[in-house]
Amino acid sequence: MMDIQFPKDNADLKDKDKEFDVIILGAGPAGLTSAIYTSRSLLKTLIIETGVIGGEAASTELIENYPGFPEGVSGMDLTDGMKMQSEKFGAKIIMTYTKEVNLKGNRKVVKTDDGVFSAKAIIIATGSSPRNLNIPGEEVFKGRGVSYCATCDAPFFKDRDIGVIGAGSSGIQESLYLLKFTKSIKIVEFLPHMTAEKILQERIKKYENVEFFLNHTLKSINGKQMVESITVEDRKVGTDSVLPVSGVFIYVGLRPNTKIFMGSLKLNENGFIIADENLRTSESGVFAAGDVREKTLRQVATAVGDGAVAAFSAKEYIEGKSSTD
Amino acid sequence: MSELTDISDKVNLKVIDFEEEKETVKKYNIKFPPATVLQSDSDLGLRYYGIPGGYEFSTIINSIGMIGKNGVELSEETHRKLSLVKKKVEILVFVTPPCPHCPKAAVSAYKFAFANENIETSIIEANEFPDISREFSVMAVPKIVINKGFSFEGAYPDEIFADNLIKGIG
Repeated sequence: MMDIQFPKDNADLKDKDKEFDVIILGAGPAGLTSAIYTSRSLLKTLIIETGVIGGEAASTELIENYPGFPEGVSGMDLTDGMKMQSEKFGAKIIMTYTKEVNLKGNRKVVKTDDGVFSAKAIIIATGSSPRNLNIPGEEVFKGRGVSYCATCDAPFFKDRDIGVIGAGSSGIQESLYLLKFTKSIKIVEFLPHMTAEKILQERIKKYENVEFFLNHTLKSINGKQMVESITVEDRKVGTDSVLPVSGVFIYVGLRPNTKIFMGSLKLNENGFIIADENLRTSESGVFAAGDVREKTLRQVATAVGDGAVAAFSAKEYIEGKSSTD
Repeated sequence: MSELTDISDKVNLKVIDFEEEKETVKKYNIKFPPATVLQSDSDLGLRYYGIPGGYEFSTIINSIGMIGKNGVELSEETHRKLSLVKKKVEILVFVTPPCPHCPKAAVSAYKFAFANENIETSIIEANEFPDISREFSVMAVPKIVINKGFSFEGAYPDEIFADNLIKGIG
Protein backbone atom coordinates (compact mmCIF):
# COMPACT_ATOMS: atom_id res chain seq x y z
CA MET A 1 0.00 0.00 0.00
CA MET A 2 1.16 3.49 -0.76
CA ASP A 3 2.05 5.87 2.04
CA ILE A 4 -0.81 8.29 1.56
CA GLN A 5 -1.17 11.18 3.95
CA PHE A 6 -4.19 13.40 4.03
CA PRO A 7 -3.42 17.10 4.09
CA LYS A 8 -3.53 18.81 7.45
CA ASP A 9 -6.83 20.50 8.15
CA ASN A 10 -6.28 24.18 8.89
CA ALA A 11 -9.65 24.26 10.64
CA ASP A 12 -8.31 21.76 13.18
CA LEU A 13 -6.21 24.55 14.66
CA LYS A 14 -8.16 25.77 17.68
CA ASP A 15 -7.14 29.02 19.37
CA LYS A 16 -4.85 27.35 21.90
CA ASP A 17 -3.13 25.58 19.04
CA LYS A 18 -2.28 28.84 17.33
CA GLU A 19 0.68 29.63 19.56
CA PHE A 20 4.05 28.27 18.48
CA ASP A 21 7.69 28.52 19.43
CA VAL A 22 8.68 29.17 15.82
CA ILE A 23 6.69 30.17 12.76
CA ILE A 24 8.43 29.66 9.44
CA LEU A 25 7.04 31.64 6.53
CA GLY A 26 7.62 29.69 3.32
CA ALA A 27 7.92 25.96 2.59
CA GLY A 28 10.75 25.96 0.08
CA PRO A 29 14.09 24.23 0.77
CA ALA A 30 15.17 26.92 3.28
CA GLY A 31 11.92 26.88 5.25
CA LEU A 32 11.60 23.10 5.27
CA THR A 33 15.21 22.69 6.42
CA SER A 34 14.64 25.20 9.21
CA ALA A 35 11.60 23.18 10.25
CA ILE A 36 13.60 19.94 10.38
CA TYR A 37 16.12 21.60 12.71
CA THR A 38 13.65 23.48 14.95
CA SER A 39 11.43 20.40 15.28
CA ARG A 40 14.40 18.27 16.25
CA SER A 41 15.15 20.90 18.92
CA LEU A 42 11.64 20.14 20.15
CA LEU A 43 10.44 23.61 19.33
CA LYS A 44 6.76 23.71 18.40
CA THR A 45 6.98 24.65 14.74
CA LEU A 46 4.46 25.91 12.20
CA ILE A 47 5.22 26.43 8.51
CA ILE A 48 2.88 28.73 6.61
CA GLU A 49 2.96 28.45 2.82
CA THR A 50 0.99 30.69 0.52
CA GLY A 51 1.91 29.17 -2.84
CA VAL A 52 3.72 25.93 -3.55
CA ILE A 53 5.34 23.50 -1.12
CA GLY A 54 8.90 23.21 -2.41
CA GLY A 55 8.97 26.79 -3.68
CA GLU A 56 10.76 27.64 -6.91
CA ALA A 57 12.78 24.43 -6.64
CA ALA A 58 9.56 22.44 -7.06
CA SER A 59 9.24 23.57 -10.66
CA THR A 60 12.78 22.54 -11.63
CA GLU A 61 12.69 19.37 -13.69
CA LEU A 62 16.18 18.19 -12.75
CA ILE A 63 18.53 19.54 -10.08
CA GLU A 64 22.04 18.33 -10.90
CA ASN A 65 24.15 20.25 -8.39
CA TYR A 66 22.54 19.24 -5.11
CA PRO A 67 24.99 16.92 -3.33
CA GLY A 68 24.09 13.30 -2.80
CA PHE A 69 22.28 12.77 -6.09
CA PRO A 70 24.89 11.84 -8.74
CA GLU A 71 22.21 11.36 -11.40
CA GLY A 72 20.37 14.52 -10.41
CA VAL A 73 17.03 14.71 -8.67
CA SER A 74 13.71 16.23 -9.68
CA GLY A 75 12.73 19.35 -7.75
CA MET A 76 9.44 17.67 -6.91
CA ASP A 77 11.05 14.55 -5.40
CA LEU A 78 13.67 16.51 -3.47
CA THR A 79 11.29 19.00 -1.89
CA ASP A 80 8.64 16.36 -1.23
CA GLY A 81 11.27 14.46 0.76
CA MET A 82 12.12 17.61 2.72
CA LYS A 83 8.43 18.13 3.50
CA MET A 84 8.02 14.56 4.76
CA GLN A 85 11.20 14.89 6.83
CA SER A 86 9.99 18.08 8.53
CA GLU A 87 6.58 16.56 9.30
CA LYS A 88 8.20 13.40 10.61
CA PHE A 89 9.86 15.46 13.35
CA GLY A 90 6.61 17.21 14.24
CA ALA A 91 6.45 20.40 12.16
CA LYS A 92 2.95 21.39 11.09
CA ILE A 93 2.42 22.80 7.60
CA ILE A 94 -0.59 24.84 6.61
CA MET A 95 -1.48 26.29 3.23
CA THR A 96 -2.98 29.71 3.61
CA TYR A 97 -2.56 33.30 2.49
CA THR A 98 -0.49 35.50 4.82
CA LYS A 99 -2.06 38.94 4.97
CA GLU A 100 -0.04 40.79 7.58
CA VAL A 101 2.76 40.33 10.11
CA ASN A 102 3.70 42.11 13.33
CA LEU A 103 7.35 41.36 14.00
CA LYS A 104 7.86 43.59 17.01
CA GLY A 105 7.86 42.49 20.63
CA ASN A 106 8.22 39.14 22.33
CA ARG A 107 5.37 37.49 20.46
CA LYS A 108 5.45 37.77 16.71
CA VAL A 109 2.03 37.73 15.06
CA VAL A 110 1.04 36.41 11.63
CA LYS A 111 -2.45 37.15 10.27
CA THR A 112 -3.69 34.73 7.62
CA ASP A 113 -6.90 33.75 5.86
CA ASP A 114 -7.14 30.93 8.40
CA GLY A 115 -6.72 33.00 11.51
CA VAL A 116 -4.03 34.61 13.61
CA PHE A 117 -0.92 32.71 14.70
CA SER A 118 1.85 33.80 17.04
CA ALA A 119 5.35 32.62 17.95
CA LYS A 120 8.41 33.52 19.97
CA ALA A 121 10.55 33.66 16.83
CA ILE A 122 9.95 33.90 13.11
CA ILE A 123 12.04 32.58 10.25
CA ILE A 124 11.28 34.27 6.94
CA ALA A 125 11.89 31.95 4.01
CA THR A 126 9.38 33.35 1.53
CA GLY A 127 11.85 33.08 -1.34
CA SER A 128 11.62 34.95 -4.58
CA SER A 129 9.60 34.88 -7.78
CA PRO A 130 10.64 35.20 -11.42
CA ARG A 131 11.26 38.84 -12.26
CA ASN A 132 9.19 40.51 -14.95
CA LEU A 133 10.84 42.59 -17.66
CA ASN A 134 7.99 45.11 -17.83
CA ILE A 135 8.34 45.58 -21.57
CA PRO A 136 5.51 46.07 -24.09
CA GLY A 137 3.61 42.84 -24.71
CA GLU A 138 4.81 40.96 -21.64
CA GLU A 139 1.65 41.40 -19.56
CA VAL A 140 -0.74 41.17 -22.51
CA PHE A 141 0.67 37.86 -23.74
CA LYS A 142 0.98 36.12 -20.36
CA GLY A 143 -0.68 32.77 -20.94
CA ARG A 144 -0.74 33.48 -24.69
CA GLY A 145 2.86 32.57 -25.35
CA VAL A 146 4.70 34.25 -22.48
CA SER A 147 5.67 31.84 -19.72
CA TYR A 148 7.95 31.68 -16.69
CA CYS A 149 7.64 27.89 -16.06
CA ALA A 150 9.16 25.52 -18.63
CA THR A 151 8.21 22.35 -16.75
CA CYS A 152 4.57 23.52 -16.59
CA ASP A 153 4.12 24.78 -20.13
CA ALA A 154 6.77 23.23 -22.42
CA PRO A 155 4.41 20.72 -24.13
CA PHE A 156 2.28 23.57 -25.48
CA PHE A 157 5.24 24.64 -27.62
CA LYS A 158 5.86 21.31 -29.33
CA ASP A 159 7.60 21.78 -32.70
CA ARG A 160 7.46 25.57 -32.36
CA ASP A 161 10.18 28.22 -32.59
CA ILE A 162 10.52 29.98 -29.25
CA GLY A 163 12.64 32.59 -27.50
CA VAL A 164 14.30 32.24 -24.10
CA ILE A 165 15.26 35.48 -22.40
CA GLY A 166 18.26 35.26 -20.10
CA ALA A 167 21.39 33.11 -20.42
CA GLY A 168 22.00 32.58 -16.72
CA SER A 169 21.86 29.08 -15.22
CA SER A 170 18.04 29.12 -15.04
CA GLY A 171 17.65 30.25 -18.66
CA ILE A 172 20.08 27.67 -20.04
CA GLN A 173 18.90 24.82 -17.80
CA GLU A 174 15.31 25.43 -18.83
CA SER A 175 16.32 25.81 -22.50
CA LEU A 176 17.87 22.34 -22.36
CA TYR A 177 14.52 21.03 -21.09
CA LEU A 178 12.51 23.00 -23.65
CA LEU A 179 14.64 21.53 -26.47
CA LYS A 180 12.92 18.19 -25.83
CA PHE A 181 9.76 19.80 -27.22
CA THR A 182 10.53 22.81 -29.37
CA LYS A 183 11.78 23.08 -32.96
CA SER A 184 14.29 25.82 -32.20
CA ILE A 185 15.28 28.31 -29.50
CA LYS A 186 16.57 31.85 -29.81
CA ILE A 187 18.39 32.79 -26.61
CA VAL A 188 18.49 36.51 -25.89
CA GLU A 189 20.99 37.81 -23.31
CA PHE A 190 21.59 41.41 -22.27
CA LEU A 191 25.24 40.82 -21.41
CA PRO A 192 27.88 40.03 -24.09
CA HIS A 193 28.32 36.54 -22.61
CA MET A 194 26.36 33.76 -20.95
CA THR A 195 26.47 33.68 -17.14
CA ALA A 196 25.23 30.09 -16.75
CA GLU A 197 27.38 27.40 -15.15
CA LYS A 198 30.10 26.42 -17.66
CA ILE A 199 28.85 22.84 -17.91
CA LEU A 200 25.44 24.13 -19.03
CA GLN A 201 27.07 26.48 -21.56
CA GLU A 202 29.00 23.59 -23.10
CA ARG A 203 25.83 21.51 -23.38
CA ILE A 204 23.68 24.16 -25.02
CA LYS A 205 26.37 25.06 -27.56
CA LYS A 206 26.10 21.55 -29.02
CA TYR A 207 22.59 22.16 -30.32
CA GLU A 208 22.37 23.34 -33.92
CA ASN A 209 18.81 24.57 -33.47
CA VAL A 210 19.83 27.09 -30.78
CA GLU A 211 20.72 30.59 -31.88
CA PHE A 212 22.33 33.13 -29.53
CA PHE A 213 21.57 36.84 -29.40
CA LEU A 214 24.16 37.95 -26.85
CA ASN A 215 24.52 41.64 -26.00
CA HIS A 216 20.89 42.11 -27.10
CA THR A 217 17.98 43.75 -25.29
CA LEU A 218 14.45 42.42 -25.58
CA LYS A 219 12.39 45.49 -26.50
CA SER A 220 8.91 44.07 -27.08
CA ILE A 221 6.81 40.96 -27.48
CA ASN A 222 4.52 41.22 -30.49
CA GLY A 223 1.42 39.54 -31.90
CA LYS A 224 -2.34 39.77 -32.34
CA GLN A 225 -4.06 37.12 -30.21
CA MET A 226 -0.91 35.11 -29.48
CA VAL A 227 2.83 35.78 -29.50
CA GLU A 228 4.10 36.00 -33.07
CA SER A 229 7.52 37.65 -32.70
CA ILE A 230 9.94 39.49 -30.45
CA THR A 231 11.88 42.65 -31.16
CA VAL A 232 15.50 42.69 -29.97
CA GLU A 233 18.09 45.43 -30.13
CA ASP A 234 21.77 44.78 -30.80
CA ARG A 235 23.37 46.83 -28.02
CA LYS A 236 26.64 47.24 -29.89
CA VAL A 237 25.31 48.73 -33.11
CA GLY A 238 21.87 49.86 -31.91
CA THR A 239 19.83 48.12 -34.63
CA ASP A 240 16.54 46.29 -34.05
CA SER A 241 15.64 42.84 -35.37
CA VAL A 242 12.25 41.13 -35.35
CA LEU A 243 12.53 37.41 -34.60
CA PRO A 244 9.53 35.20 -35.40
CA VAL A 245 8.68 33.06 -32.34
CA SER A 246 5.42 31.71 -30.94
CA GLY A 247 6.55 31.54 -27.33
CA VAL A 248 8.79 33.43 -24.93
CA PHE A 249 10.17 31.99 -21.68
CA ILE A 250 11.58 34.65 -19.37
CA TYR A 251 14.44 33.99 -16.92
CA VAL A 252 15.91 37.36 -16.05
CA GLY A 253 16.45 37.02 -12.34
CA LEU A 254 14.35 37.04 -9.23
CA ARG A 255 12.34 39.51 -7.18
CA PRO A 256 12.05 38.85 -3.45
CA ASN A 257 8.71 38.05 -1.85
CA THR A 258 9.08 40.74 0.81
CA LYS A 259 6.13 43.06 0.19
CA ILE A 260 4.53 42.40 3.59
CA PHE A 261 7.83 43.10 5.41
CA MET A 262 8.36 46.56 3.94
CA GLY A 263 8.60 49.04 6.77
CA SER A 264 9.18 46.31 9.38
CA LEU A 265 12.59 45.01 8.32
CA LYS A 266 15.75 46.43 6.78
CA LEU A 267 15.77 45.55 3.08
CA ASN A 268 18.37 46.32 0.43
CA GLU A 269 17.65 48.50 -2.62
CA ASN A 270 16.24 45.50 -4.51
CA GLY A 271 13.95 44.47 -1.65
CA PHE A 272 15.97 41.51 -0.34
CA ILE A 273 16.17 41.16 3.48
CA ILE A 274 19.49 42.14 5.01
CA ALA A 275 20.68 39.59 7.59
CA ASP A 276 23.97 39.02 9.40
CA GLU A 277 26.04 35.83 9.25
CA ASN A 278 23.78 34.21 11.85
CA LEU A 279 20.82 35.24 9.68
CA ARG A 280 19.48 37.71 12.24
CA THR A 281 17.50 40.51 10.63
CA SER A 282 17.07 44.09 11.85
CA GLU A 283 14.28 42.92 14.15
CA SER A 284 15.08 40.88 17.25
CA GLY A 285 13.73 37.32 17.04
CA VAL A 286 13.23 37.49 13.26
CA PHE A 287 15.55 35.51 11.00
CA ALA A 288 15.82 35.23 7.22
CA ALA A 289 16.83 32.20 5.16
CA GLY A 290 17.16 31.30 1.50
CA ASP A 291 16.48 33.30 -1.67
CA VAL A 292 14.63 36.04 0.22
CA ARG A 293 17.78 37.45 1.77
CA GLU A 294 20.61 39.47 0.31
CA LYS A 295 23.27 36.98 -0.82
CA THR A 296 25.45 36.18 -3.80
CA LEU A 297 24.31 32.66 -4.77
CA ARG A 298 20.70 31.49 -4.76
CA GLN A 299 20.68 27.70 -5.02
CA VAL A 300 18.98 24.82 -3.19
CA ALA A 301 22.34 23.99 -1.60
CA THR A 302 22.73 27.48 -0.14
CA ALA A 303 19.05 27.66 0.89
CA VAL A 304 19.41 24.45 2.88
CA GLY A 305 22.50 25.83 4.66
CA ASP A 306 20.61 29.02 5.47
CA GLY A 307 17.70 27.01 6.82
CA ALA A 308 19.92 25.19 9.29
CA VAL A 309 21.68 28.36 10.46
CA ALA A 310 18.44 30.33 10.86
CA ALA A 311 16.92 27.47 12.89
CA PHE A 312 19.97 27.35 15.15
CA SER A 313 19.86 31.11 15.66
CA ALA A 314 16.13 30.99 16.43
CA LYS A 315 16.73 28.25 18.99
CA GLU A 316 19.53 30.28 20.64
CA TYR A 317 17.27 33.34 20.69
CA ILE A 318 14.35 31.47 22.30
CA GLU A 319 16.62 29.80 24.90
CA GLY A 320 18.23 33.18 25.69
CA LYS A 321 14.83 34.73 26.17
CA SER A 322 13.70 31.88 28.43
CA SER A 323 16.75 32.22 30.67
CA THR A 324 16.21 35.96 31.10
CA ASP A 325 12.42 35.82 31.53
CA MET B 1 -6.76 4.80 -8.29
CA SER B 2 -7.50 1.40 -6.79
CA GLU B 3 -4.70 1.96 -4.24
CA LEU B 4 -6.71 4.84 -2.81
CA THR B 5 -9.37 2.43 -1.58
CA ASP B 6 -6.75 0.91 0.75
CA ILE B 7 -6.52 4.06 2.84
CA SER B 8 -9.99 3.69 4.34
CA ASP B 9 -12.99 1.42 3.95
CA LYS B 10 -14.96 4.62 3.44
CA VAL B 11 -13.22 5.22 0.11
CA ASN B 12 -14.83 3.24 -2.68
CA LEU B 13 -13.94 2.99 -6.33
CA LYS B 14 -16.33 2.06 -9.12
CA VAL B 15 -14.92 1.63 -12.61
CA ILE B 16 -17.25 2.51 -15.49
CA ASP B 17 -16.66 1.44 -19.10
CA PHE B 18 -17.05 4.58 -21.21
CA GLU B 19 -18.11 2.65 -24.32
CA GLU B 20 -20.33 0.04 -22.67
CA GLU B 21 -22.10 1.87 -19.84
CA LYS B 22 -23.63 4.73 -21.76
CA GLU B 23 -26.40 5.37 -19.22
CA THR B 24 -23.95 6.06 -16.42
CA VAL B 25 -21.70 8.12 -18.67
CA LYS B 26 -24.72 10.23 -19.62
CA LYS B 27 -25.90 10.54 -16.02
CA TYR B 28 -22.58 12.03 -14.98
CA ASN B 29 -22.24 14.00 -18.21
CA ILE B 30 -18.75 12.61 -18.87
CA LYS B 31 -17.49 14.10 -22.10
CA PHE B 32 -14.46 11.94 -22.79
CA PRO B 33 -12.38 9.20 -21.12
CA PRO B 34 -10.48 8.77 -18.90
CA ALA B 35 -12.43 10.71 -16.32
CA THR B 36 -12.87 10.51 -12.56
CA VAL B 37 -15.99 11.58 -10.70
CA LEU B 38 -15.35 12.43 -7.07
CA GLN B 39 -18.54 12.21 -5.07
CA SER B 40 -20.12 11.45 -1.72
CA ASP B 41 -23.59 9.90 -1.66
CA SER B 42 -24.56 12.59 -4.10
CA ASP B 43 -22.93 14.13 -7.17
CA LEU B 44 -20.87 17.14 -6.06
CA GLY B 45 -20.02 18.37 -9.56
CA LEU B 46 -16.35 17.36 -9.32
CA ARG B 47 -14.75 15.87 -12.44
CA TYR B 48 -11.12 15.10 -13.27
CA TYR B 49 -10.29 14.44 -16.93
CA GLY B 50 -7.03 12.57 -17.52
CA ILE B 51 -4.59 10.70 -15.29
CA PRO B 52 -3.87 12.60 -12.08
CA GLY B 53 -0.10 12.10 -12.06
CA GLY B 54 2.72 14.20 -10.60
CA TYR B 55 1.57 17.09 -8.46
CA GLU B 56 -2.02 16.46 -9.51
CA PHE B 57 -2.28 13.40 -7.32
CA SER B 58 -2.42 15.80 -4.38
CA THR B 59 -5.55 17.37 -5.88
CA ILE B 60 -7.31 14.01 -5.70
CA ILE B 61 -6.07 13.34 -2.15
CA ASN B 62 -7.16 16.80 -1.05
CA SER B 63 -10.60 16.31 -2.54
CA ILE B 64 -11.11 12.95 -0.88
CA GLY B 65 -10.21 14.63 2.42
CA MET B 66 -12.69 17.42 1.75
CA ILE B 67 -15.50 15.01 0.88
CA GLY B 68 -14.67 12.74 3.81
CA LYS B 69 -14.83 15.59 6.30
CA ASN B 70 -17.90 16.97 4.57
CA GLY B 71 -16.41 20.40 5.03
CA VAL B 72 -14.53 22.99 3.11
CA GLU B 73 -11.96 25.50 4.32
CA LEU B 74 -12.84 28.89 2.95
CA SER B 75 -12.80 32.30 4.60
CA GLU B 76 -16.09 34.01 5.44
CA GLU B 77 -15.39 36.55 2.73
CA THR B 78 -14.94 33.82 0.10
CA HIS B 79 -18.16 32.12 1.26
CA ARG B 80 -19.92 35.46 0.93
CA LYS B 81 -18.63 35.92 -2.61
CA LEU B 82 -19.60 32.38 -3.61
CA SER B 83 -23.10 32.95 -2.26
CA LEU B 84 -23.53 35.47 -5.09
CA VAL B 85 -23.42 32.57 -7.58
CA LYS B 86 -27.11 31.84 -8.09
CA LYS B 87 -27.04 30.24 -11.55
CA LYS B 88 -25.23 27.19 -12.91
CA VAL B 89 -21.54 27.85 -13.55
CA GLU B 90 -18.97 25.57 -15.12
CA ILE B 91 -15.32 26.04 -14.13
CA LEU B 92 -12.64 24.36 -16.23
CA VAL B 93 -9.12 24.23 -14.79
CA PHE B 94 -6.41 23.15 -17.23
CA VAL B 95 -3.36 21.62 -15.53
CA THR B 96 -0.22 19.60 -16.29
CA PRO B 97 1.26 17.01 -13.88
CA PRO B 98 4.70 18.68 -13.41
CA CYS B 99 3.15 22.09 -12.66
CA PRO B 100 3.58 22.78 -8.92
CA HIS B 101 1.21 25.79 -9.01
CA CYS B 102 -1.68 23.87 -10.59
CA PRO B 103 -3.05 21.96 -7.57
CA LYS B 104 -3.67 25.25 -5.78
CA ALA B 105 -6.01 26.44 -8.54
CA ALA B 106 -7.55 22.99 -8.94
CA VAL B 107 -8.25 22.59 -5.22
CA SER B 108 -9.74 26.09 -4.96
CA ALA B 109 -12.09 25.33 -7.85
CA TYR B 110 -13.12 22.01 -6.26
CA LYS B 111 -13.74 23.79 -2.95
CA PHE B 112 -15.98 26.28 -4.74
CA ALA B 113 -17.99 23.45 -6.32
CA PHE B 114 -18.27 21.73 -2.95
CA ALA B 115 -19.43 24.94 -1.25
CA ASN B 116 -22.01 25.96 -3.86
CA GLU B 117 -24.17 23.43 -5.70
CA ASN B 118 -24.54 25.79 -8.68
CA ILE B 119 -20.83 25.39 -9.42
CA GLU B 120 -19.40 22.44 -11.34
CA THR B 121 -15.65 22.04 -11.70
CA SER B 122 -13.76 19.96 -14.22
CA ILE B 123 -10.00 19.66 -13.96
CA ILE B 124 -8.49 18.82 -17.37
CA GLU B 125 -4.98 17.45 -17.86
CA ALA B 126 -4.02 19.62 -20.80
CA ASN B 127 -1.41 17.30 -22.37
CA GLU B 128 -3.84 14.40 -22.55
CA PHE B 129 -6.51 16.41 -24.33
CA PRO B 130 -4.67 18.56 -26.88
CA ASP B 131 -7.81 19.27 -28.93
CA ILE B 132 -9.69 20.69 -25.94
CA SER B 133 -6.57 22.61 -24.90
CA ARG B 134 -6.33 24.12 -28.38
CA GLU B 135 -10.05 24.96 -28.35
CA PHE B 136 -9.46 27.07 -25.22
CA SER B 137 -6.04 28.38 -26.38
CA VAL B 138 -4.20 26.86 -23.43
CA MET B 139 -0.56 27.99 -23.57
CA ALA B 140 0.15 28.20 -19.83
CA VAL B 141 -1.19 26.42 -16.80
CA PRO B 142 -3.07 26.61 -14.57
CA LYS B 143 -5.63 28.14 -16.91
CA ILE B 144 -9.12 28.70 -15.59
CA VAL B 145 -12.11 29.07 -17.92
CA ILE B 146 -15.50 30.21 -16.62
CA ASN B 147 -18.61 29.17 -18.58
CA LYS B 148 -16.45 28.47 -21.65
CA GLY B 149 -15.74 32.20 -22.02
CA PHE B 150 -13.90 34.37 -19.51
CA SER B 151 -10.47 32.97 -18.66
CA PHE B 152 -7.37 33.73 -16.62
CA GLU B 153 -4.07 32.04 -15.80
CA GLY B 154 -2.36 31.46 -12.48
CA ALA B 155 -2.89 30.21 -8.94
CA TYR B 156 -4.35 32.84 -6.66
CA PRO B 157 -5.65 32.98 -3.08
CA ASP B 158 -9.28 31.77 -2.83
CA GLU B 159 -10.69 35.28 -2.45
CA ILE B 160 -9.05 36.56 -5.65
CA PHE B 161 -10.11 33.40 -7.53
CA ALA B 162 -13.68 34.04 -6.27
CA ASP B 163 -13.46 37.65 -7.52
CA ASN B 164 -12.43 36.36 -10.95
CA LEU B 165 -15.27 33.84 -10.88
CA ILE B 166 -17.80 36.60 -10.21
CA LYS B 167 -16.21 38.70 -12.98
CA GLY B 168 -16.43 35.72 -15.34
CA ILE B 169 -20.12 35.22 -14.68
CA GLY B 170 -20.65 38.85 -15.61
